Amino acid sequence: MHISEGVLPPATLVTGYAASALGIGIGLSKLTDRQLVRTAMLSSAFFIASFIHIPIGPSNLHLVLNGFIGLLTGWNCFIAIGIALLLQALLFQFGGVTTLGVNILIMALPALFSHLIFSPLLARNNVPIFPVGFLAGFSSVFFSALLLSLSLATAGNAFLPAAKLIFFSNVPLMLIDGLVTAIAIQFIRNIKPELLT
Amino acid sequence: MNLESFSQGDSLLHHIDPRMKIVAYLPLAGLTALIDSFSQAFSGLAAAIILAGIAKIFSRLLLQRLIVVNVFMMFLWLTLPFSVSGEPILHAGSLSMSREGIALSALLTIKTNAIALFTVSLPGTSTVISLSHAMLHLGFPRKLVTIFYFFYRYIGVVGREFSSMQRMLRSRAFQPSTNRYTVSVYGYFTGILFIRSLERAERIYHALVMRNFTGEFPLLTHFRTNGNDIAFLCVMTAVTLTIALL
Repeated sequence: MHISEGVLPPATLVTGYAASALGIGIGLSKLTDRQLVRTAMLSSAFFIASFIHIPIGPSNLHLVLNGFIGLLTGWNCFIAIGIALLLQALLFQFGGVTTLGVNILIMALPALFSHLIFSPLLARNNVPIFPVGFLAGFSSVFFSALLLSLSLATAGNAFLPAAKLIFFSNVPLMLIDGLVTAIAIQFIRNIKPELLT
Repeated sequence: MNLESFSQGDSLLHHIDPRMKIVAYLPLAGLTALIDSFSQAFSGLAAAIILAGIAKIFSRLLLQRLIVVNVFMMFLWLTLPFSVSGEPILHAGSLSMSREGIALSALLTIKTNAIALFTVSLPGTSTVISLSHAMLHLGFPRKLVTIFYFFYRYIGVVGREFSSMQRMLRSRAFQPSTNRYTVSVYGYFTGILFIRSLERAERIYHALVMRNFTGEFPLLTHFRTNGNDIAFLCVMTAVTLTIALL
């Protein structure tokens, strides 16, 4: 889920960079050395987890897990997602250097949202964990697809049909990311609950 | 897992100072993203193909990468010819494709591919570690570059964990398909991958503290710029200005 180079107008590209820089700046200002290593490692795992492909009929989907990474990194999600996307842009030319800011914002803002809304729920013992995990995963991909479509729409009205097409083509991914996030969060909660705090 | 296939090579571009490549690449990519005429887009693409030729990176792998880059373009080709108003040239039922819509899709496709080729032939021909070293010298925030360094260093480690878990699934005859079982297997898979990564992060942190780590690494080696690097930067600046003024 990335926007390619050369499509978006300069105002959108600059807004993306400014907002992502703010998010990364807030993360860096509070980052301790322990969190530095932890964030880097989670980012590696996030990068590697995107190699998991789940077959959907004749095609397959690769996991995004931005809601999951939001739950594990909190405010550092802009850093974790940002460096992973930078490497993807450099090595695989997914997205790209001019759209990097927008692409980070598209993935990290919903991740932050998932941390702010769902982490307090996970900390309580009386809330069933599966639906919370599912909603965290589902809503993050939902809002990422929405942000992606909205940024594409800033390129002009002619891009609206493409924006809608891209949004709806991501619906299967929302469901699968939701399920995988729910199962993984439940698993971590059972095995090593201290990782979620 | 070999991620940096294009950085191994022996062309002229592989030997250029990575700092110079970053300095040449950023304005060129930014300019190409913003151009809106075919003459500029074609000269950008021509420059990109020449650079890729100099870097000697034409291969099946490059073709695969470009196919992935163009998946996004497919969405635009499917919609823009119908949604951009203009002179209709083809009718399919009640829909009509406009010349302007096809031209816009073509222009965006040329720009995307040109930037992708710039990326592979300029920063892509340096190793990621030397690029992060260059970023430090160019004044990027130290803490961010340090995290990027750790992140890149441990991709190999997490990647090995990933491969061994996939081998474990295969040796138990796991066949991924479209069902609830596959999704739950990958859910547990993800959970284990992250638990192991976080446990490892703790061990690494303790090892670093024991070795007196204070948040950053000292820089011991420095880049040395030679005549080739200066000539490269001059040529790239001329190319960028030519495209800008066309």
